[in-house]
Parts: sequence; C-alpha cells; structure tokens
Amino acid sequence: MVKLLKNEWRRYFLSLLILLCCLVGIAILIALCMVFSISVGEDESYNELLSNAGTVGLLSMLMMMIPFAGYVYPILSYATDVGKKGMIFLTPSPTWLVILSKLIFGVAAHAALLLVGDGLTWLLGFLADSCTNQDVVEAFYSVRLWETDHVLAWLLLRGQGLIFLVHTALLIMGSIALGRYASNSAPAQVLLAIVFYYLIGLIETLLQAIVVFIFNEGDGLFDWFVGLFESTSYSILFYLAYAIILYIICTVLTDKKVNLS
Amino acid sequence: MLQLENLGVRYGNQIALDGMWYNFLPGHIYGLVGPNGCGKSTLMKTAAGLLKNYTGTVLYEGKRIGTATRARVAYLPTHPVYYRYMSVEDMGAFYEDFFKDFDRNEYRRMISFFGLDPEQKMVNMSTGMVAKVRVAATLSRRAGVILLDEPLNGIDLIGQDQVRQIILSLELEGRIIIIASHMFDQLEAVCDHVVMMNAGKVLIHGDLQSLREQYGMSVSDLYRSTYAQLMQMQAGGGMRTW
Repeated sequence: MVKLLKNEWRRYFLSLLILLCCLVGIAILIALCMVFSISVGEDESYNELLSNAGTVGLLSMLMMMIPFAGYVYPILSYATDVGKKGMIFLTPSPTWLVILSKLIFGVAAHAALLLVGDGLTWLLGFLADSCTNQDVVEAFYSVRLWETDHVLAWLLLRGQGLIFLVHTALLIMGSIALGRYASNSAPAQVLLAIVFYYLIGLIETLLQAIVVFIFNEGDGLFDWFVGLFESTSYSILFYLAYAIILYIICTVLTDKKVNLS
Repeated sequence: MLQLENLGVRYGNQIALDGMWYNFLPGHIYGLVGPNGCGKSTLMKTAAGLLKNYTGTVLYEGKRIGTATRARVAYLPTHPVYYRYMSVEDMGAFYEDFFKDFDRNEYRRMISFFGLDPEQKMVNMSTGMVAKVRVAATLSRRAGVILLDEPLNGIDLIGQDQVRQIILSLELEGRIIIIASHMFDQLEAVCDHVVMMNAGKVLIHGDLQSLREQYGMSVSDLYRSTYAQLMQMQAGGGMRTW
C-alpha cells in the first residue's frame, strides 16, 4: 500500500502543490481586498464592489476549489491506469489495493486542501472583524463560528463531505469500469459509462426512497418526501453503503478486464 | 517451466488462441514468431497475467498465472506503457518500488550503455529512446520469465545490436526468455528455440539447430517458406502478387 501511495504521490504532487499555491494566492487576494476595504472606510461605491465581486466571490472560489482534488485525483488516476498507460497493472499489486490507494490518496489530498483552506479562512476571519462592510463580516462569520464554537459539528460536516466524495469518485469509477466491461469500442465505452452513471444514480435514489418510505410508513407522503432530503444522517449511511457496493463492482470488473487487454 | 495447457482466448467472435499446448523450459531463449494477428501478443499478455478471460491453464512453476506471479514474470508490452511525469530515473525508481528482483545498478548501466540521459523526461523522448528505456527496465529484473513483445520496435540498428548484446549477456540458468516478433531475422542471433504460430496454434517448434538440419535451410528461410505456403493455401492455391 505504501508503495502504491508513493506512486500516486509522485504522479500528482506537482499538481497538488499548484492547487495549494492557488489556495494561498486566493487567500492573499481576499486579504488585499479586505485591507483595501478597511482603508476606504465607509465609501459605499468601493465597498459594494469589494464585498460582492471581490471578497465574497473569492471566498466562494476558495471553497469550491477544495473538493476538486478529492474527486479529480482518484478518477483521473483510475481512468489513466485502465487505459493503455497503466504501468501499475504490470506490477504484482492486486486490483483492490490499487483502487483503494487511489481513493486514499484522493481523500488525503482533499483533507490537506481542506485543512489549508479552512485554516486560511479562519485567519482571514480576524481581518474581516476590522471590516466595516457587513457582507464581508457575515461571509466569514459562519466559517469562524463553525470552526471555533462547533468543532464537533465541523468535524462531522467534513466527515460527511469525505464520504460523499468517496461515493462520487467510486460512482464515476464504477461507471467507467462497467462501460469498459460492456464494450470493446472506446467511444461506446465512454457513452455507456455516462449511461451507467445516471442509471446507478437513479437506482440509488430509488432504493433510498423505498427504504425511507418503508421506515416512515405512518407519515404522509409529503412528510416522507421532506424527510428524505432533510435527513443527512440517513443519506450518509446510504452513501457509505453505496460506496462499498461500488468499490466491489469497480474492483471485480477492473480485475476481469485489466488494462492492456 | 511455463506450461500452456489447451489455452484459448477469444475477442468477441475472433479466436486469438485456439487450444494451445506448449511447455517453455528454463535455460532457453524462445523466439515466438508468426504473422500479424496469429496470437503472439495475446499469448504474452496471458503469460504475464494480464488476461483473465481465457480457457485452459497457464502455469508457472506449477502455480496458476495471475497477479501474484507478476512478481516473477517480467513483461515488456508492445506499446509504450509509462507515466507522463516520469524521467528515466523515475522509471527505475518505480520498478525498484514494485519489483523485488529489480537491479537498479544494472538498469543504470544499461541506460548508460544506450547513451540515454537519466534525467530526461520520457514524454520528451523519441519512440526509439522510450523503447530502449523500457527494454532496460524489463531486462534489469532478475525474473524467472522474461516476456519481450516486439522489443526492437522503433529502435535504430545500433540500438537493436545493443539490445541483442544485452539479451545474450543475460544469465540463463533457471530463466525462460520469450521474445515475440514478426521479424525473425532480427532475432535469429539470440534465440536458441523457435515457436512458429499460426491462427492461435503452434505450427512448428524446436531448437534452431535441429530445425536447420531437419529442413536444410536457415530458420528465417523456413519461416518465409512456411508462411508463404500458408498464404497460398488461404488464397486458394495461387499466391497473390503485387
């Protein structure tokens, strides 16, 4: 496993470094915007531009960049390896371990970016305190509140995020594996992978709906419908179960039609 | 010993290997030859443990070929397989990480012998240079079975001589070396056995000296006459001319 992770690290550390630099770069831009906002004081025309287009926009960008690595690395790595370039299948590493290493690396990369991103946002929160612009203060308020006053809730939220991430990565990887297994033609494989992606998503939602409906037998249809989407803990359990099933499907199919074949 | 017992592989309706039986013995260099599409590469992939959907049995030292046997089987695929981030040295590091039988010093010696820059990125190299790096990495393993699928593809004449020199210098005791090629002329100098294939089956096989004596011609000429006859038969008696 260590060697497999080392291989993933070698493949992607440069792009991970670039992503980290981008995060720091965006944080610096936000800080500059806020410093400028503080210096112009109550001037409304500047402040509106800074708060909406500048600081808050950049903050959203910072938050959106973080999950990127967690999804992209395992999927990119898997798609490359099952293609004609996958040296890893020439080694004596079993397929289940190869796929697991990709997921672990994706989760680790995501966690690293998350920590840096949250840390930067937390630090920027101090600067936001000095801001006179209410939009900027509010944008950072919730972040700081989560991280300082609700550590457990913050951890839970991030944990759920990781499970969701692993599930999505496996959903895409499983769809690729099914597409490759179903056809030998490359364009058909891509098309089938897309079809399988939506099909599995549909089956998952249906299963989830059926289970929630059974357990909410006494409630009305509306309550059940609202409950389905509101119950995060339910969803996470489902995602966890689906992720395990998808991991098995992905491993078995990849192993049956390993690359170079 | 590498044993193939009634080995069959199909790609859809197409038969790649048609119930093939053969035993590759240690201490020999086998030339696996035949026209395009006769099943050479499929046989190599199966022996490397990369093909799963086959019928029959492939055994190495009595154990079924699979993921675990890749630790003892070195395989050079016909198409270039490497990661884009890799330099020549990175390739060595990768092999060292995953193969216990890999000799990094031997690899460096071969890279130097080929006149390649260890720091150069593989993506910036020509096809021939990449082929040399891949040959060096594969032959630097002290594996029990070495499978080379078209190892001279893309390599210049001097480079081909160098590859042949390296193959001839390998310690053969307890090892099986199988080289697949459709250009047997290039391999006759290094092989001591030949397995000629056609339509997924063994057509003629044996050690080179016996075949030369038996047919009264060089093995390259035997190859040409054998496959010319086959083509004539397939063409309905008359060989097509240009």
